[in-house]
Amino acid sequence: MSLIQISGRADMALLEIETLSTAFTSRQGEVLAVDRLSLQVERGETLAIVGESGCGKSVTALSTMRLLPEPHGRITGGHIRFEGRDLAGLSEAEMRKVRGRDIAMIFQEPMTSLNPALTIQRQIGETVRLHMRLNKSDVRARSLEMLELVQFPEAERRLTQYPHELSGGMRQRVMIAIALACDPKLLIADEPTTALDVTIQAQILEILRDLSARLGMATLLITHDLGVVAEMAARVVVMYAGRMVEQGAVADVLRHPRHPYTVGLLAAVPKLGSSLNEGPRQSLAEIPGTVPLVRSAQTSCAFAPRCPLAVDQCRRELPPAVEVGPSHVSACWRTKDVPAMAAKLREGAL
Amino acid sequence: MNATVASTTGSAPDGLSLRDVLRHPTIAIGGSIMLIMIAAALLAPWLGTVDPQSLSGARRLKPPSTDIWFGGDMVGRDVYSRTVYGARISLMVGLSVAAISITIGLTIGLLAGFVRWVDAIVMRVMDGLMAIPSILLAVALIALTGASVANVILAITLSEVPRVSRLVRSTVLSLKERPFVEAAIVVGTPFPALLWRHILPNTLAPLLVQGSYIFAAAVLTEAALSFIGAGTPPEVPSWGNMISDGRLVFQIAPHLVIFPGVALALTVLAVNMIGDGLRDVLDPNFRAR
Amino acid sequence: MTLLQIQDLKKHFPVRRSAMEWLKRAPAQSVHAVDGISLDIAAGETLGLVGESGCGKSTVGRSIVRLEDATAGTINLNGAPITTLSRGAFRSLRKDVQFVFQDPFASLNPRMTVAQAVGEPLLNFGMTDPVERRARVAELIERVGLRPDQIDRFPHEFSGGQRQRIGIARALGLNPKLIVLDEPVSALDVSVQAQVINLLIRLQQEFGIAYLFIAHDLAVVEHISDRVAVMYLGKIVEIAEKRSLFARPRHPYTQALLSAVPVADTDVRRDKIILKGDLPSPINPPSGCRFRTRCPIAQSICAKEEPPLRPVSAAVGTHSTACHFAE
Repeated sequence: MSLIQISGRADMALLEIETLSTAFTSRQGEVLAVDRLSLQVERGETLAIVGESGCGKSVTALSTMRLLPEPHGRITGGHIRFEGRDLAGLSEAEMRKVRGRDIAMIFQEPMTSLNPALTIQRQIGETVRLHMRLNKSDVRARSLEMLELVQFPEAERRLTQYPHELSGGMRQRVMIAIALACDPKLLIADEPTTALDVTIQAQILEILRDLSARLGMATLLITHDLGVVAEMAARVVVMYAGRMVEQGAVADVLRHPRHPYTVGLLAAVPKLGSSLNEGPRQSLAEIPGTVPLVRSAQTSCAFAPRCPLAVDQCRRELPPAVEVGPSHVSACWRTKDVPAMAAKLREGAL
Repeated sequence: MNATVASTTGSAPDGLSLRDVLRHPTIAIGGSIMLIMIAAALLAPWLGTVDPQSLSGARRLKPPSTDIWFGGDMVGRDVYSRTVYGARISLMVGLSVAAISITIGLTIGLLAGFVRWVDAIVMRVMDGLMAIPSILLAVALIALTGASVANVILAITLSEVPRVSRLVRSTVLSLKERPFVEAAIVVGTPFPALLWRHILPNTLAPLLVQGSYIFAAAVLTEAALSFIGAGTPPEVPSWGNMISDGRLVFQIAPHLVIFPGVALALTVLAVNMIGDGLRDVLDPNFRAR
Repeated sequence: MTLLQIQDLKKHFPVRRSAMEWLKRAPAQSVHAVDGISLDIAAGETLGLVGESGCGKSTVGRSIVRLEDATAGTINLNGAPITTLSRGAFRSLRKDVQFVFQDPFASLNPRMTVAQAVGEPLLNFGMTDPVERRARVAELIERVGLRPDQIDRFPHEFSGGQRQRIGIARALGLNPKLIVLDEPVSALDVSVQAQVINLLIRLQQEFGIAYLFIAHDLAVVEHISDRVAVMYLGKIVEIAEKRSLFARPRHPYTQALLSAVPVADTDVRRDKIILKGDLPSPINPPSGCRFRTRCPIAQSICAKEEPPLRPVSAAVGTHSTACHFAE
């Protein structure tokens, strides 16, 4: 069942990832980082991909931007269609025209993503000059405009500063400014606030929300933080060991999760305000074990060894993505039993 | 509660086993050559040699033949025997210089890494020594102390110590900040045990690599010193001396230079190969690939 | 019974001057990492210490175990003064206070087996019989939820969460009364984080160890702590029993901090207090109240007078804050 049929949309999505598979070759052999992943990002919407380390969320972003480290990383299957064009089939020269212009990306560590030897002005200017062919004064004007867009204080004075002279939050703003300089239709943000303090994170997230609304820009947000998902995204894809396990509207997935992993993840996070509940402190729900290393296309559920609901079928057959609600999909053989499991967990019986 | 399946085989730290080390191509080749040289040095009397100092009018400047494998030199000494015995000198010099300079350099480097004022004073002295080209330094010392194998070893050692102490010092400085060293302090590890259990084992890898390079450099320097007459005494059968002697009759009897020269080149090459291989094998980035 | 007492602790790190500055006789500057902290920890309780980067919380933790030497102030452990003892004399006190580091990868010597690493504190304090030591290591390893047949493996053979457990086993070896944990779960995945937090709570219930839990994640701190102290730029701005702090934070910084934490619930809509600007430089902290440059309710008095830390009214349990306008 393709996702287009599920969501019932007739118009073309901005970004459509269809059964994408990405592999890495290492000294220990081949590792399949993404296994037949499918998702869509509509124009102007924010889709979050959430999961723990090793689930393949960052690799999905890198695959979309064709930024996989070569030669050991490569796309081994599927399609990535942006406005109908298959990105995987483009030449490097053609892809360069897409990067920065149509699709932009921001990363987790602004210090290593910004060139420490270039001023801010030059770094923003580089993108503008590459894609928009403006003259020198127009480039400067555009740079200032971008910095103001990201609420960078004293922009005019600080255009000539270097990355090391800025704080983490400021550097992240610069990175956003660079990303937006050419009015991209899609912004891929890979853990953009993970390395920032929580008050700075709040600033940056607000900027991103504001920009998305104002510019009508779509965002593919990659994060491990379910709180950030709740604040920023309309829809969410939960990934585990390279595969999608659950997908749907954020409100649906967070309030009514239909996959044991999603339930486990939600229950493992301590909640702010927990101390205000009556009664003794509950222990956090643990998911025993660790994420497995996937070497080839999975033929059974990768989460089964750690799943409290696992049965024989889970260990023998790969669960397909089934519709569990409007635009809400879960890849679990026992998805019907998940709400009961979630309820028990909440009562502390598991 | 289950534990993860080990993703690397072998229970050695960093997953490195002796087999991995020996399998590396340059270590295998270099090691084989070195084994031959070591065998030559150790088993010299039983490898068909005669007394390297014995003179014989009959052998004078004879070219290589089935009786006299490497020929004879200008005073009739057997070049083959001298070449084989020469391995002793070269290897002994190489080994001694490497061992002594590493011991002294390690001590100085450790002190410099931990004691501020030692760092300030002693490292400046080291800098000064490093500024003088090693051969000149060695020549000057030999001139002061006289020519003998022991003095040659001492002189070359002196010129190698600064580099080792630099290396150890910088390794120690970076190790001091590492959390596992701080953790050892917090669990009450006294300073000597800290050095022995945590600092030393983690300085050994770069030292080992450095040691091999010092070995090669020492062998070459000794030969160079002997060549210019400032090294081992003339009657000692070192390869440098042989090349020096043979230089004068090179036109008519090239074998006097070729055999010790090739032996020298092979030894230095072998040791350098081992050093390169060790460096590769001990580098965590290399193994990750 | 008060286990640890910190009085007016200060730690300043000197800033290296360039040659030009030295020639011009510019005054020597220092980073005021910790600038006058006082707090107590009772036996068996968990005090959470939160703040953002640069607030000095890690430095406080490190000062307690003498990884940093205090510039001023006193720290007393069980009545014995830590700060004035020489390093050698302090060594015997190390049995009572241990430390768990943030980075599970870097805090274990890659060339030592688990048995050697966890056995090291035992060896340091006289357990020289290897058989006895090995048995005790196996016991500790089991206590933290790992299999004792793994103790001859090396750190790289374990996952991040397991390595952190090994670090905790090492800290337990000497039966300490207090463990300082510096961001012990920040580097771990969410599901692994839960395992380690549950373990820490279990160990505390079993052995009655006090914890100083240093972290920036407020939800985690709320879960594990009894009391919480909030730091900003080297000072404590609020300290209270956990329920009181999270139910009704009094200091504007605490309020902003709590409102900034993203919550995984789409129904909850809060007014976010977005602070303006960046953290001021700890070399030259603002005069008066340090938070005034970003505070939404700052007045002129805030620049002139530094607000003292004093109890607030109508709180459940102890609750103090350093703000001119907190009631």
